[in-house]
Amino acid sequence: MYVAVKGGEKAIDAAHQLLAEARRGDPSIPEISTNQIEEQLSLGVDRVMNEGSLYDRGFASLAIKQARGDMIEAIFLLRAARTTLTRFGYALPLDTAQMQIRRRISAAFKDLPGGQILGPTFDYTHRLLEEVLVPEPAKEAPQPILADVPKVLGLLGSEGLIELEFASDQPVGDITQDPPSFPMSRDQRLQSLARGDEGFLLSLAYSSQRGFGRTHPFAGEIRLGEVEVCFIPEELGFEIVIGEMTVTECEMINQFKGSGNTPPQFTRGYGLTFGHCERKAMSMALVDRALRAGELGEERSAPIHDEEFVISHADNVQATGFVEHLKLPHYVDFQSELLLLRQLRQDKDRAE
Amino acid sequence: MSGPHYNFAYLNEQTKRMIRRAILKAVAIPGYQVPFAAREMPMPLGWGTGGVQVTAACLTAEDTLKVIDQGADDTTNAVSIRKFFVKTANVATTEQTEEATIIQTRHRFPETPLKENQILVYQVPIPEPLRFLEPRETETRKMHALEEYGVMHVKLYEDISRFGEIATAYAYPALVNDRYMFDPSPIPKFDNPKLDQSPALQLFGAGREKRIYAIPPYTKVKSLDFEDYPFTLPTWEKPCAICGSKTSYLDEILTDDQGGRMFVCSDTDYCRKNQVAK
Amino acid sequence: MIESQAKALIFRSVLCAMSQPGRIVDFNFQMPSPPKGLSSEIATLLLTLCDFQTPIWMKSSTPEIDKYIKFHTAAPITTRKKNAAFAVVSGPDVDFSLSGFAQGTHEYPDRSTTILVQVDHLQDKGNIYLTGPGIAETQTFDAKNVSKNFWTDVIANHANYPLGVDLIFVAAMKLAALPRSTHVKIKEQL
Repeated sequence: MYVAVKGGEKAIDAAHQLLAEARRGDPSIPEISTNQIEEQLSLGVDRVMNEGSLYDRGFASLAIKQARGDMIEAIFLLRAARTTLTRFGYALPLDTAQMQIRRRISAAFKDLPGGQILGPTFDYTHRLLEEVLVPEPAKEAPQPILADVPKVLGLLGSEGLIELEFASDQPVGDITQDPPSFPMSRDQRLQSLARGDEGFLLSLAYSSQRGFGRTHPFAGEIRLGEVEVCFIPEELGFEIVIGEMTVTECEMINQFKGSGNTPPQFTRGYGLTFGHCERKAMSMALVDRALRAGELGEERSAPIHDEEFVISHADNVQATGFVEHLKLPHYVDFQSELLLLRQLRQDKDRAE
Repeated sequence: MSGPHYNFAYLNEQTKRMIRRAILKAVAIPGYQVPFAAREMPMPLGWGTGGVQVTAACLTAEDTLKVIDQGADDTTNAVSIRKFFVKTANVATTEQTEEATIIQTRHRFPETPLKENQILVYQVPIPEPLRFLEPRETETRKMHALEEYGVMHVKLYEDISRFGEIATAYAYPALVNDRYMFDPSPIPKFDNPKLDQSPALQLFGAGREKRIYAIPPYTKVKSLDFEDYPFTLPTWEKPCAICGSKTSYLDEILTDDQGGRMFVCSDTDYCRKNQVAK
Repeated sequence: MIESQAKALIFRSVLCAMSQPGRIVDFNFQMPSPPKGLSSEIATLLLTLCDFQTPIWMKSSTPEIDKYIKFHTAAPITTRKKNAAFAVVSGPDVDFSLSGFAQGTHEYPDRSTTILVQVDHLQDKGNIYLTGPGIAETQTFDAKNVSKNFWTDVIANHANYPLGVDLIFVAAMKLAALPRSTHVKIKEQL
């Protein structure tokens, strides 16, 4: 007699065991430590913190190790850990003008106050595989770390050539506390983009450069460095510094807006990420600018202009969950489709 | 991190409060999709995180929990979710429908009739019944606001003109309390009549889409149809090969590569009880 | 402070009441001792349901009560009914207008006020006849010390469905709810 399939529990336990073995790999090779990941795979750690929406290098390194290097899985682990943490308040806005700068470039001006600092970048390396990756001893003093360097877009602003941005007295939106509803405000949009998938934002940004919603961008300024995080505890009532974090900021300069009343001005796109995530910050700035099309009175014709499309599909934890859920059993629904299909074919045969 | 570090049922208190408020609103406006700030759970979005959050927000230490997927207690995802609640809430579990105070389900309504004070929690992938006809939330919200459901009737009518009958076999849309069109989650349409006037409270959680909706006990749930094409139920030519039930939903099992197949109850608890009764 | 597991039980009582309108639910918990003018039952509900995201409107309050609520829930106290996620109404004769509170919008009817009503006595017999979701046939109901206008208001509240407010009543160790979906008739009108 047929016995219904049993043993889900056993199967899961066995799968966990196999996963643990696969994660460890060949036991004769030394086990990798989370410190090694944190120090030597640091850009991976940055990406996981960024899209995982949690600034914690230790947790992110552990997540990468536990996920066997699968970045989206690691991001997911960090997000789930985030759910257990209690929110105790909002930090004050970061002041990126006060950043301790390690890298700062502008593609808009050849030279400018504070200068161009290449910092740690792949940009001008030849992408040749090298077996030995030990740094050469420094031939000259390392580049200085700069603070209080004026913002490039601020320099343009003093001439009135770029739109000004004003601080709002509205409370900042928080998509983790209030479910997003459309249309979104720019702060909610930027928050969604900040945790959005790097690949998805990169492709969207690329599509706009190729003509699906052209935005005419210049990389006004990209800066990387450390900023202080400040907080006002309710019981103290004054501002204290609670830590420091590494961020990458990208401010794009885009083509004009103007009307009968106001002279033409450059417009802005903004990107900010935890850690060193330059590609993401740039993509974010392009997408941000494109999503402002409506506000700036431009035609919304390309996928990148469609806020609901872009924001609803940018989160890779959501995306991977739903795509991969197709692995779960669907035999009840499949059976109902089978019944229906057979019924429809019978009806047709009878009719003929 | 090990067991003792988790809050009861994993979620922090503020998250539970937020979900509880959404549930109360959902109950007060049957069939209306209440937005809620769903959290990432330690299982993937799309794998029941909406149901898990609703269950976690409702669960008390006095509850007895049953978890089913495709009608069965032993499917891998049901096992995984049940284990999660045993680990984080140390809750009593059962496979017996009538013993459970909370039943979390994916894709089925149990065959055993539910009672008052039981809660059935559905895992929902796409809460919006109009989504495949209109992809934009901004539009579908308006359609619900105006009770403008003509587009769904057109779709069903097109089915009839093309196939001779309504070609929707699961996630079959229905009207709740004569007001909101809703998606009963991907249960087969075979189960739709069980939702109508059920004595149990039915809660629907869509984590990825961040929506919660509800059907209170004794609430009218009317599957959409037309006067000349009334709602019909699928039938099987044979009874369950194990328990002989002629009234339960059957899964098809392929037994060989020669076209051999058999049909057995998808609700394993119901099937076992039927066997014992015989 | 109410423990996590106690809060779960309290919520389930509220859920039970909300999903079976007019049904009197026992409210047997270790309750907090709030300052004078705020009942233990109302305090229990506020501490279970409210936090920094839910502005509360109070019909009558004292600085001690405001301080107590802010300390235990972090909820802002609002003076604008339309901003209130929750409202607390009590007094020997509950007389207030429901329509002044947030009713939700047609696209988001959930953006509405839930009103906690302190009454002297609740019973599942009386001149108020309830029908609708959550009720198998008809549920009789009565709440003591509410004005006659109040029921006219509740009837008008339902007429506005799906907009409207939801009501949670408390009396000594008892709880009942009237969501906006409930159809209300006063016996004389039958």
